[in-house]
Formats: sequence, structure tokens, C-alpha cells
Amino acid sequence: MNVFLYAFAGYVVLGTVIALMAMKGLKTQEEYYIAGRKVSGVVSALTYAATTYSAFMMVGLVGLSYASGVGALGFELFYLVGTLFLLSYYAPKVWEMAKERGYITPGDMIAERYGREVAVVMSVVATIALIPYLSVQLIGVGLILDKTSAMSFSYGIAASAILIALWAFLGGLRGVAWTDAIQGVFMLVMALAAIYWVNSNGFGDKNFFAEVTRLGELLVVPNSVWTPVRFVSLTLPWFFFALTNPQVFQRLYIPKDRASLRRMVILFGFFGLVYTVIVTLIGLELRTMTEMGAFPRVEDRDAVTPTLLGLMPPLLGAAISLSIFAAAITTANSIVLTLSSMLSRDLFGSERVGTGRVIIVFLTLALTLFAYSRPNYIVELSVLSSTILLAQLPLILGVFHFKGGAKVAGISTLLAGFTTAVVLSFAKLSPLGIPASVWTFIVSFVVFFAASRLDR
Amino acid sequence: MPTPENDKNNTPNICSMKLLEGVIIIAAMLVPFVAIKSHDMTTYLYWTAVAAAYLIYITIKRW
Repeated sequence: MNVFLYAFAGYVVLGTVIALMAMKGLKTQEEYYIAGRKVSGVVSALTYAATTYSAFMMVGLVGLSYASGVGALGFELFYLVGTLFLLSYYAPKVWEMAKERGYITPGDMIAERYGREVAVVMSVVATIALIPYLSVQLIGVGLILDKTSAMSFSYGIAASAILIALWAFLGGLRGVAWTDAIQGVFMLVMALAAIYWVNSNGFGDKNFFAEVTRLGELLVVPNSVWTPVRFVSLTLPWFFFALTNPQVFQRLYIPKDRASLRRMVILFGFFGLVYTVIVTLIGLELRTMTEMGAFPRVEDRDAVTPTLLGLMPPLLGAAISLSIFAAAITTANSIVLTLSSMLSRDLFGSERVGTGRVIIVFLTLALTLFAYSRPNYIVELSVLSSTILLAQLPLILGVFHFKGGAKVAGISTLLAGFTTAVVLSFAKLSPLGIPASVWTFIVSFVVFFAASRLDR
Repeated sequence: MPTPENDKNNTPNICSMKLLEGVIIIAAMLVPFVAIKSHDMTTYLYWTAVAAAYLIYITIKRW
């Protein structure tokens, strides 16, 4: 039995005990999906961070920084400042409305403003957008565990799926938030351990700031990878992530009071800044080491982290692999729980916790089958998810800033945005040189304002 | 004394102030695309400093 499996066994036991402890008193949907609006600021911040920062950080972003340079930091920090900008304005308004009017899902707010039918369409659009994204988390974890010989690909996916469903099923949001909080701290500590190891081994007797100049154009933007169009294309959906992604939007309902909400946003900001800087620095240090001949040249950017883990001492490698596994689980079980709340409450109109638990099982089965089938288009679909979710933006902003618009505007905006995102992305079209995400943004707003006139 | 009516009257002002804040932070984040061309860690440190400064601003200001 390898080191990883010992650590993994402890992780499973600890998480399951926490989820069982969180089960007590979960009788209403308010308790099950938003922990009765009684979560402290610190736990809210950690669950927000753990939900947001997936396995993409330690695998995808390390590789992206390695392959494309400093633009990867700009892309990720645009998301962070966008989130701080949006939450410092909208979070108190959303929190107050949710508390006053008893919102449980993001769809509750949309249903009250635009009609229940719009929330139904939104729950379906969000599910279609997020299932491939969830499957990519499972595939990513399966591959990294397989490459580091911790666990085979199939077992990795099965273990992930079981934990995603089990912890959400047992403890609802309270269980997910408590396990997220512990895992969030673990993710940050392991990222620190990784940068410490890379720095000690790569630059023990050398000055990183002097050596990094070897990277040339990778240290500036724009460069051959980060063209302005590509930067805008990727950054636009992420800038609005805090409003358009239901799993994080629903977290605005959970803090116990306004002070806790504020603490959640600020602490999340500090977590995000430190985590982003560490992760992108690992990528840049490894690329510098490659140019110095101290680290293998890795052509496939998703293989950078597995290559690094293979060079580390087994215990450290196992702990970092486990933190990547934890990052995937914390993101996935939060999304599954939120989607189950939207499908059971907004789509089926159920007030029962049991319905949501059944949906958790079916959703997990669906994403597991999707992950095992590994369709060729899954990467495109997962990238597409944040672009599709942009279609909701006019509706969410409309709640606060526009008086017009009801059922027709709501449904036509979602369908037009969804269709634009899917057609342009699959056909790989950029009419007038404008990327799919920007077109989705423009079309959604134009249709929203145009259709609002029909709703008068 | 704050009343709902006062709050309603202040909303457009707060909204335009927030919009200005958004324009400033986006403009600050775009500076490396036009003004930083040195092949060292300047762009990296600049972006980190802007994000950190904005985070401190959000921490200090009332909202």
C-alpha cells in the first residue's frame, strides 16, 4: 500500500465523520442547502474559496503559467478583482433579499422577478453547463492519481464520485462547508509546501529574479500566447463568475449576519491572492528551471504538475496529490449540491430534502458516466460552461438595475445566450474577430433589452 | 438619519461611483498590455501589487 493510500484513508474517514456530524437537524431545505443561514464568516470564506478554486489551480494554472508565462497570472487576478468588485456591491443586497424573502436557490430570486418558468429554464441551462465541467474535475483527478501511481484512473474517478455524493448527501451544505473549510486550509498549506520545495531545489544557490529573465517574451503581455483577443475571450466570463456561477452565488445566502458576509468576501480575497500568486509562481519557477536544464521540458502543459510530483519525495508528493484531490472534491460536491437544489426546487417544485438527495445520486452517476466515457469534446464543453453561464448575467443585473423584463425577456435571454455560446464555440467561429464569450455577452444583453419591450 | 427614501435617492450616485471604481481597476489591470515591456518580473509584481492594493481598499472601505 503506497503512502497516498494511507493519507487518502485518513482523509475519507475524517470527511465522513464531519459529514455525519453535520447531518443533525437537516429537516428543511433551508437547513440542507444553505445551512440555515447560520455560517460564520471564516467558514463561509473557506467554503467560498474551496468551491471556487478547483484542481484547475494546481494542475491547469501551474501548466498554463509554465507554457504561457505571466499572462496566466493576469487572467486569474482579473477574476479575483472582478469578484471583489462585484461582491463588495452586490453581496450585501443579495444577502438581505435572500434573508427577507426566504431565497434558497439562485433561481428563487429569478423566479420572483421574472416568473417561475425562467427559473426552470435557468436550472436546466446551469445543469447542462456544469456537468461537463464537473466531469473534467473527475477526469483530471483520475489522470493525476494514475500518473503519480497513487491510484488507477478508474479507481480515482470512482473514489471521487463516491465522496462527492456521500458528503453532500449526508451533511448538505453544512457538511460541505465544514469539509471545505478544512480542505481549503490543506490546499493552501500544500501549495506553500510545493513552492518551498521548488524554490529550495531549483534556486537554492541561485537568484530566481536573475534567472527568470531567460523566459523572455513569456514575462510580458501581449505575447504569442496571450493576444489581446484571447485574453478578453478567457477573462470576460471569469470576471462575472461570482454572479453567474450558481454554486458561488448561493453561498451569498449562507453567512449568519452582515459582518460575516463582509468577512467572507475579504478573507476569500486574501486566500485567492495568496493561492494565485503561489500557483503561478510555481509554473514560472519550473519553466525557468527547464531553461536552466534543472527540470524536464514538458510539452503537454497538463503534465507539468504530475512531472513535478514524480520528482518530489514520496510523502510530499502524496500530500500534494491529496490536496489536488481535495480541491476537485470541494468544487464538485458544492456544484452537485447547488444543482440538486435548483433541479429539485426550481425544476420539480419540490420542498422536500429527500428529492434533493435522490437528485444528488443521479447527478453524480451522470457525471461519473460522462467522465468514464471521456468524449473528445469534453474539454471544449468544460471551457464552454463559463461562457454559457454568462447568459444569466442580464437577468441577475436586471433584478437590481432594470425595471423592465419578465417571462419573455428571461426565457429568450437564456436561450439566445445559450445558443450563441454553443454554436460559436463548436463551430469555432469568431464573427468580426470577436470571440464567442464576448458575442454571448452582447447577444444576451441585446435580447434582454429587446424582449423586455414585449413584456410590457 | 438614513431613511428608505434617502437610500433610494442615493442609489444612482453610489452606482456611478461603483462604476467609476470598476473602470479604474480594469484600467489599472490593463496597464501591462501597453506600458510594461521589460523581460523581468515587473509585470508579475505590478499585477500582484494592484490586486493587493484593491483588496486592501475593499477591506478598509465601508460597503
